[in-house]
Amino acid sequence: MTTVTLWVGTRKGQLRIRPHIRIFVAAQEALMLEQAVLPKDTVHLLCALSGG
Amino acid sequence: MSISLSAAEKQRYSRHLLLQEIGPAGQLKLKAARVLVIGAGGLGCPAALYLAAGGIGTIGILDFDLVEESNLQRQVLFTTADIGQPKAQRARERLRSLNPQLQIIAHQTELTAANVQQIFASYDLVVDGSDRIGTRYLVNDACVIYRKPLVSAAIHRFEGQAMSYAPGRGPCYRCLFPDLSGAVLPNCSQAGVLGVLPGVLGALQATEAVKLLLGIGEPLLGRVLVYDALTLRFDEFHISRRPDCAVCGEQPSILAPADPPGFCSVEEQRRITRLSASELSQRLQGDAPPSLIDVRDPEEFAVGHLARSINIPLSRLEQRGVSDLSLPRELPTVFICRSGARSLRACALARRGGMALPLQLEGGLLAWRETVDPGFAL
Repeated sequence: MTTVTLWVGTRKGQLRIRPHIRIFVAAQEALMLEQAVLPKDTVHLLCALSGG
Repeated sequence: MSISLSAAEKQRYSRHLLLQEIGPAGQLKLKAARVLVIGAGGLGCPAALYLAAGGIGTIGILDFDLVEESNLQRQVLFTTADIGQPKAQRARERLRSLNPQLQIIAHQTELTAANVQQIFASYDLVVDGSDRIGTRYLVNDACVIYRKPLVSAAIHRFEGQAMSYAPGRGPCYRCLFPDLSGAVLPNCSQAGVLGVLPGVLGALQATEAVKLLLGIGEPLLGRVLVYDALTLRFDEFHISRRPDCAVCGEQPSILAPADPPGFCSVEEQRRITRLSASELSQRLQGDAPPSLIDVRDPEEFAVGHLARSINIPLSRLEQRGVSDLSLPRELPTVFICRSGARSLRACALARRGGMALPLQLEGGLLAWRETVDPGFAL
C-alpha cells in the first residue's frame, strides 16, 4: 500500500479538495488529500458538470 | 376528482398495463402526475419525449431560448423548420403531437429566485436538464425547500452524471457539490458534446421520474451514476447526506432559493458586445487600444497573459463591484478569461457598475490561441 497525496482536484497552494470536485479511491470517497492507494485501485474524479 | 383511463388510453398504454409494477393503478398515477422539465436542451428533449409517451398527465417545459441550428445535433424534439422559434413553444407542439391526451405547459422564461416558487408550486416532481451550473443550485435548493423530488443530470463532452433527490430520503445536489466557489464549468456550446450522450442521460432521467412517481424500484437516491460514452461504462458512487449541508443539513443557512453570486440574467448577457480574437488583435495594434482586464485567477494569469492586461479575478469583481476598483469608466475595456464564461459575467457586472463600454473577448484566450497566437501559454 502506498500513501499518496492527491493533487488532482485541488488548486495549487490551497491544499484542499475544491468544493465542486469529489475524489473516489476504489469507489470510496477520499475526504483528505493524504490517501492510501493500492496498486489495483482506481481513482475517480467527479467534477460538477453544467452541460444540459 | 376521480380519474380513469379511457379506452384509447388503455390501448396506448397497454404495454405499461401489462407490467405488474405499473398496471392500471400505476398508469392512473402517471396520468395524475405533474412533472416540470427544466431546459428543453439535450437532456430535456429526450426526457420530455419519454415522459409524454409514457402518459405523464401534465408536463411543463421551461426554457427561455430559441432553437438554433447547432441544437439539432442532440435536441431531438426540434426540426430544421423550428430554427429561430421559442424552444418551449415548439416542444409543447411536438409533445402534443406525440400525445394529445396530455396537458403540456410551455414556460418561456428564465428560472430565477423570483419566479421559482410560483412555477414549482404547480408540479409534483422536477427534472433538471439545465445547462447552467447556477440554475442547478437554484433548482436543487428550491426542491429541498419546497419538498419536491428532483431528478438531476448533466453532461460534458463524452460523459454524464445523474442522481435523484427525494425529500427526507437522502442527499441533495448540494451534499454532493456544496458550492460553486471558483468553479467555472464549460457548457456544451463551449466544450462540445457527443450528440447521442444526452439521449442516454435524458432517458435515464425519465426512468427515474417514473419510478419516483410510482414508488417502484430503487431510485438513484444517495448514488451518483456516471456514464462514460467512450468506454461505454457506467460507474456508481455512494454519497451521504451532509449534516452541514447549507440547504438540507441540520442547521441550514439557505432558507429561501437565491440566485447565485454574480448572477447575470440571460438578457443582461445578451446586451454585452463581443469582440472576436482577431478583432481584439486589430484594436490592440490601433492608435487607441482598449484597456484589458483579465478576470482569471492569479495562478492562471501567471502562466500566460496578454501584454498590458491587468488581473482582477472575477471573484474580486463580484465581491467589491466595479465602482471600488478604480476602473476606467468611459474608455473601452475588454474583459478576458480562458473560455468566455467568466468574462461575460464580468461584463454584466461592469455594466451594472456604470461602465459605459465593457467588451468581451469571445471564446476567451482559447480563441486567441486558436486564431491569433498559437504559441500563447494557457
